[in-house]
Amino acid sequence: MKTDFEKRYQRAPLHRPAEKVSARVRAASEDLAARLHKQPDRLVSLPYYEELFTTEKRKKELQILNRKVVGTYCYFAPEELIYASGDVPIRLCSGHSDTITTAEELLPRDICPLVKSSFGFPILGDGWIDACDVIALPTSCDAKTKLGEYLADYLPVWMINLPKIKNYDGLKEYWLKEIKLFLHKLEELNGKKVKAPELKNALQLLKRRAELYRAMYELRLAHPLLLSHQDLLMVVQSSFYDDLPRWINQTELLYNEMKKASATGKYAAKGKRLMITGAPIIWPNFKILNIITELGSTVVADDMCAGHQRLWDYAEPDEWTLEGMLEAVAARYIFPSVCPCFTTSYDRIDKILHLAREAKVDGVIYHDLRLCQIFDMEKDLVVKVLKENQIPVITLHTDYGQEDVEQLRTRIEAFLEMIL
Amino acid sequence: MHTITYIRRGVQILSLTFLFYGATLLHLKPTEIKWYAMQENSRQATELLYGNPTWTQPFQTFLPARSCRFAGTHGTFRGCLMFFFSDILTWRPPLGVVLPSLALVVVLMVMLARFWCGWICPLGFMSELLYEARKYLGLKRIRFSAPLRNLLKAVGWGLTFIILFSAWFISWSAVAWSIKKPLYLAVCQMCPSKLITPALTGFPIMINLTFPGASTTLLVSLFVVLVASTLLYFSGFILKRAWCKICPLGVILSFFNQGAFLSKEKDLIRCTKCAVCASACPMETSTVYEEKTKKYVNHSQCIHCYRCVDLCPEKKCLTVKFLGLPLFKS
Ligand code: SF4
Ligand code: SF4
Ligand code: SF4
Ligand code: SF4
Repeated sequence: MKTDFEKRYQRAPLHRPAEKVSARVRAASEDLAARLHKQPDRLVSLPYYEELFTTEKRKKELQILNRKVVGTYCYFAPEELIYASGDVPIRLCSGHSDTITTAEELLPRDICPLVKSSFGFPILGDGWIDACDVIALPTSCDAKTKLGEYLADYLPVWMINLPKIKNYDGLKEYWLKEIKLFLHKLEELNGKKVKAPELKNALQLLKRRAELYRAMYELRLAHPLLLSHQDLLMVVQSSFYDDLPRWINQTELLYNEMKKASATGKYAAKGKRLMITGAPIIWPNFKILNIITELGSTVVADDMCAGHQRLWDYAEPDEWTLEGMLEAVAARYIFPSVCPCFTTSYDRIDKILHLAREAKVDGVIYHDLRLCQIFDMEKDLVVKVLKENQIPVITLHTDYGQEDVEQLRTRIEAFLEMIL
Repeated sequence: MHTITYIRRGVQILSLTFLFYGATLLHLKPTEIKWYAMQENSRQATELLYGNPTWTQPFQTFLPARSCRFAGTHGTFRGCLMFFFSDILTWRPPLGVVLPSLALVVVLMVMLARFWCGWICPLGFMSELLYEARKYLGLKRIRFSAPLRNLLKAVGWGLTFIILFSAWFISWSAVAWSIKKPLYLAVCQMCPSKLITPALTGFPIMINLTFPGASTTLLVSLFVVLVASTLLYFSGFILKRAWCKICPLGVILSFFNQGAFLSKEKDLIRCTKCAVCASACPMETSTVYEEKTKKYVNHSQCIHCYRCVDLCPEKKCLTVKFLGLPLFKS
């Protein structure tokens, strides 16, 4: 199989299986699941999603499944194409802090925790990456761009050359070509061509997922505590791993339960209505959300690529020809994206303003992951515009560790008091 | 799903049927009208009472769409407004005679602007059928590049100017007959509808490459333009509404797109700039996608097909309003 690293120079893959670390990883997931389980008036459809994080069931299923598994990072690896090829995408972005030390044996310390955390797993020989046949890695930031060479020690890696400027006229010039190249690689991997009906099915499946998510989002506007934001992120992030049709069925059940429960009127927001913007908050790194819940306030919206944004957009082709669909897929990943890897933050700012208005938020929390330059550099303008719009905002500069929990609590508490 | 597109297709089918076959289907009686013609002997315009019923449609007025006069006896209206404008400029009839038709056309334009293109014009509808056929065959769409789009726009303006200018020019008695005759109704001489509408309605197709006393060079040149515009029309199979990008009637309507009663508005903050609207636009305009400061998003070339509104993934982002009253919403 062709990869983007031709191995002119070799480095033996580093393997450091460590039962202790793996046990801590499992414990982190189980602790969070147990914690979420204890939330008052919690909907009964939710434990299904916990299992995807706490058990190996799905991973075993993937290993015996006769389908290729494509590990992906970020928002940009085109899921439509992976599904159309009959393969399964698994998103490998991780939120575990316990694997970071492992990764630091090879990776420099001064890079973002998400990359380090994710890279710990191949070294440990643990996690979802074990089930993957190939990795699709978009060049969204510097750390992700360079991660490819490290991952190539373990698995074949396909880089996805992401443009950094949103330019509609350029869409066809380069990004559509990149999308087609990706499709070609998939076709090579599977030894068969993707035909228009298969792609159409994949597009429709993902649109159904988006519509379902949108319906849940709307329901949650009026009754945010139907799903705590922790639960919402858990549901969204379980879709990284689950079999998609099964996830959709399950989530339809959840949605119906939400609809029924909303009639009880028990699920109105408590305390302040907050929005989270910024770097992804990924299972099990829910410390900020947990603090907010403990302080009696509610997160009602987010614009994160591992949250709201992940399921919001879909490809909407004008023409259902192969070319038309590919164009729509290409457009869907670039244009509505609010990822800070693009040169301007304007679309992201508009998104935040829109969500803040629609979800009637009292304040915004800017989650700035330590050592992620792009979110950090966008902060200034985002914060300025929010303030101009009379939306209070606080920046939390943090990472995956638990050391600063108390300090964060104090800051959030002060912020909540300030927006009284 | 895609409700607007379905409604629009329905309206287009009805309007094509009505414009092209209305007289026959509804048993509308043709009216006797005064007509003018180029007289060969006197070489000037003469007022005639045409007995030929093909020329007398039931509604002696004009529409701002290609309600072509070559629909013959089946047709319901006397012709399109380009024909009307050309006629006014050439014959300069007393204002009283043309005022009713002129007022109607202007009112229709101010109210609906290029809505006529997207919903009523039979020529536009048929060019959409062309690309629907291509979609059905699974062939891919090709877009005009930006420079080519600008070129087409310029060509459209040029054509419009030539058509109106020549219509006025031949009204001078000093102009030689050899020029006058071929340039008479230059608009119809180069209009693809001259070939397409007769093909649909069974009206004879008339092409004269020579005419006694008339300049053959001019006649042939106009015929070349006709062939070119017809080819452009049929290139709409892959290029989407190719002819509409230069159509002189479209050019005139485009002046009304801003400030017409019918208008598209965008909730700027709801728009995610996902570009779905830009990809969907058959006229390849990008105002709806790009605009982030003004809420009115009416590009001069927008034909009000509302495909953008239909496909926009953001609820209540785009709204079509008639005098402030919402008609359609995304
Ligand atoms: S041929 Fe063209 S310009 Fe002439 S009446 Fe018909 S549609 Fe109008
Ligand atoms: S541009 Fe001309 S041909 Fe096209 S729809 Fe409008 S009036 Fe009809
Ligand atoms: S389709 Fe709608 S949301 Fe997308 S760019 Fe156009 S107007 Fe904006
Ligand atoms: S801007 Fe919208 S309504 Fe206008 S022509 Fe394009 S798709 Fe149709």
